[in-house]
Amino acid sequence: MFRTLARLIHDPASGPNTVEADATNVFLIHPVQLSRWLEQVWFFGGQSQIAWGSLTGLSRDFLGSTDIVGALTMPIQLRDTQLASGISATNNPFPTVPPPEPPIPFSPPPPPGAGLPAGLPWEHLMYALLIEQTGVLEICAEVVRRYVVGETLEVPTIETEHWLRATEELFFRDPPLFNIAGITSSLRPDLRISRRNAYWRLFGMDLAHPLPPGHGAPAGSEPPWKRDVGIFNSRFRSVLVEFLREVWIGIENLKNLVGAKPTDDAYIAELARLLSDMLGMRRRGGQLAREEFVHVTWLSWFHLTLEYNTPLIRDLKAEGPESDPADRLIKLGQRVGITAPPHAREYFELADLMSPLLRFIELGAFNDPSAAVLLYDVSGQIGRDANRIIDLWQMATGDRLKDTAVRTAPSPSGAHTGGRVPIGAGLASVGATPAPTGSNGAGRG
Amino acid sequence: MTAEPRTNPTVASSTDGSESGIDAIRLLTQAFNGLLDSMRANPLLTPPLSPKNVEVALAYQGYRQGLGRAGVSVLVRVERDPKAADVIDLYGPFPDTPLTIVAFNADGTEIGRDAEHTRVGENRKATIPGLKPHQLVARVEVLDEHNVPILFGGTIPPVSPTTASRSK
Repeated sequence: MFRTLARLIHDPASGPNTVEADATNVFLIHPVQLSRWLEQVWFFGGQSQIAWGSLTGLSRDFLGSTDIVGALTMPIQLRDTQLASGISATNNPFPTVPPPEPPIPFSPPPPPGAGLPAGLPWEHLMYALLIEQTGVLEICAEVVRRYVVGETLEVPTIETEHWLRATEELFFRDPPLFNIAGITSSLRPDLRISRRNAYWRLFGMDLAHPLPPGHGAPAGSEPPWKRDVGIFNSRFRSVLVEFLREVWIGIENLKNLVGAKPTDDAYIAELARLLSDMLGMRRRGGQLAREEFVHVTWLSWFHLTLEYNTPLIRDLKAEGPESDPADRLIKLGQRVGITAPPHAREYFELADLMSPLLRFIELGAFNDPSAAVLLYDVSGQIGRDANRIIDLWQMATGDRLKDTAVRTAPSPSGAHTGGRVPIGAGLASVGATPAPTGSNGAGRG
Repeated sequence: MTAEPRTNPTVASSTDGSESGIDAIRLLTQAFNGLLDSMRANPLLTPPLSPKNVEVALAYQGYRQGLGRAGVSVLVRVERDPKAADVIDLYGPFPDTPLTIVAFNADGTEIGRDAEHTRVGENRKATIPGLKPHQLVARVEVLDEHNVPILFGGTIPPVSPTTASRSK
């Protein structure tokens, strides 16, 4: 959602092509305002999610229940008065830096994104899994830790001080009481474990890198995110891989006019329906809707941090080429002694592609054999996305999607577990333990 | 890195939001991402898209835009006319071809359609027969001359009691 906010608060006075400035503006907003905006966007973003479900009469309810957003939302009078975010999309209320001009502007509702006819959907939980797989969270956490405990990094500019303060307050302490983001409690105190729990339940997949020291269970014991989950989607990954293989066969044979055509629309639809059912079953009654919102929000903050040459990136001399968060991540990791995974680049790109496609799979858009052509006709957007996903998934995970003669189950711990990979490479799936790694993503350089 | 650039969401709310004032017809062609063009050019190679598949393709494109992915607009901004409860305002521009504007209930049933809507500059005013003030419009579709949906409008809430009292 923070990447969305950067677009929403675009300052036309700063001229075109100012995405870096827009991203920086997000980091200059006071964290209490950002926190309250999330409360607001849960409502109108969630409503738009539901509206999208009806847009094409797709068969499954968004977020598992059309009632879940309203059930968990804050009373509108409170949300839009005493607890309004005060962020405006129209008044460009950003402090001049340096120095900030007190008081920090506070604008009455509506907040950015409210009332957008196109709606304001948020990403699928798969986005969070794939972005976290890059190790961005652990690297940024280490950057924040180093800044707040010592002077081993460059002197931060005022803009970076804003980012440090907001990052620590928003993501490394408990959220305000009764906030929509408050999914930690004495019953589930660790958000790292909560995220892994959600990934496990919905996708039957783990991050490849283990938890930092002090967060995990003792060696040999069951990972805490797998305890008491009951039913989880243990087959998700293998079905997804089979689905992508079948789509690839369709792509390969799209223009095949001679001989047998191995494309099997009915089988593609059957696999799509199975994926849709698995995701839908875990979301019954709106389960995981709030968790998904929180987790994708979290990861979008760190993704935005790396998406451009933002103040933190400039201060730490980790600048990279346009639209290359992986390059910046690698440099940032080097500053704090953590090696980013070799496939971070693929995971960043995969996240943006998988999120909408998986949402539509979940909604049942491809449950009918007649819709299979949309997936493998690469002249359309869906086909192009599916084709790119197949490339990137194979590169990142090692699952052989294009070798149609190969029909092996995915490696439990991914195909890239060897070598110098402190933050794991391949996604670990059911039955796997996290890939053995060197410094497990919490390395202290 | 080949990650796509992101777009401003206001682009997704109007067909005129593209970067350089591309004309509406080209926008719409792009909205189909070449899919239909490809099929027309190669009718033997790929089966024609069904209206349902066109809906899915358009909705997917619109959803991507909502998430901020680059792409052309397939969403049109729609509002209830505050002075007439059965009138929907649609903000263009629109292609210069015969269009039909259809309003749907949340359950997917059709509320009504208007093929002879009024032009107001680049915008359109569609009178939907049977649309009541208290009625929610779950979605709006703009159909081309072949009754193929080419644009989507989002949900429009019922008009307020105050507004309704002024409706015709």
